[in-house]
Amino acid sequence: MMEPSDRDLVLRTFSGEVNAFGELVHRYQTAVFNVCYRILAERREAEDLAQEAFIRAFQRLNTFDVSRPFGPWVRRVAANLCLNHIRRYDPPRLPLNDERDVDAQGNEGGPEVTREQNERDESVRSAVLGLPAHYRAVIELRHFQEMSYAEISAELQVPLSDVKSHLFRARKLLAKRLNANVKAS
Amino acid sequence: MSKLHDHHLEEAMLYQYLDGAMSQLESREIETHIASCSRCLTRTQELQDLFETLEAWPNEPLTKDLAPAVMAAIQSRRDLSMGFKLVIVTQLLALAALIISQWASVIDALEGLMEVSFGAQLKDGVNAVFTILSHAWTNARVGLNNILVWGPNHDGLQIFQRLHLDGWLMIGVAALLWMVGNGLLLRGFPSNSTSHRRPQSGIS
Repeated sequence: MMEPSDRDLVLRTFSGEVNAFGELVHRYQTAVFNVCYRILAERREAEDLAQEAFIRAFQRLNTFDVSRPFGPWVRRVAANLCLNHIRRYDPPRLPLNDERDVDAQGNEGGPEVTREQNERDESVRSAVLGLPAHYRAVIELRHFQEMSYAEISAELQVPLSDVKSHLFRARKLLAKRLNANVKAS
Repeated sequence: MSKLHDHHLEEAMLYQYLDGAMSQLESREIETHIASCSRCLTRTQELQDLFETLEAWPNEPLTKDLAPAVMAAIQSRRDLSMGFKLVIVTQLLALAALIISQWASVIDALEGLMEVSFGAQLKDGVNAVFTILSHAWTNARVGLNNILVWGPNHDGLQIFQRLHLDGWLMIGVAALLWMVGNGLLLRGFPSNSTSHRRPQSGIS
């Protein structure tokens, strides 16, 4: 039996079948969690905000254009929520630790996941999560949400020049850390 | 117009080029330069590798299923919404009962206001509405008396009418509805919420 499309699930939610929204949560919870994790750099907080993002998405579902894909829209809702959160609370950067409950690379791929790839992923993880919050925000919006400079400027409510300079500095810092991690390994 | 720094492209320009944030003309100029400058070509490739490495970072695994908590929260907020509507209705009924119990005074006050502010037609309209309410109120009083099983000549009824207990009874009903409405409101408040949780200090 073919799985219902995202559009079908949204339409069923509109018609009152709230459980259809639960299926959308299952499909996108990992992606939404990762949006939150990349911005907040803290697992438990990311899980809480991811939950809240889905609740907000449900409440604002009437603003969603069903002709467009659901995934990018709900990820934007999550990003927006996380950005508001760091604006309000400006959490201190916590020391990175091995927070994950699965092994460091989530080795669902098994033997296909090479050691080299694992090290690279871990290097990227520590480099990104070690950035200041406002740098993580621009990196997330540009590289993972694929937003333009103008869209990022509107989202973060900062001038375009600030977006460019934040991205420039964030990338320089990332490159420096990645190179340092490569040398260290 | 290209800005060349020592005949090489500035890194900020390369970033904008790779982000697709340049006009077609500017992009063509950059590409023309890169094609003829090995240093800028190398640098562009390094930055491109950085972007690809970053974007290839796989998703972190989620260690718990968020769906049950999300659906429970959605259901609870829907219940709260229904409860809130019920509260509004009970509050409106309480207000209506209060006004009806004191309608004579309300009419007197409004008549004075209507004469001063709004003219004869509106005043007549309001009077018509309150006349209807007046008949309804009279019928309600008769019905109330019958419910209380006091006949029109009963001593108890005379006391009831002399002390205007029917008016006080309506005020009591209004107060009861108000208290019930607020009780419903208080019970409907969520006991916890995750959206305002502050980050915990220390390692998590």
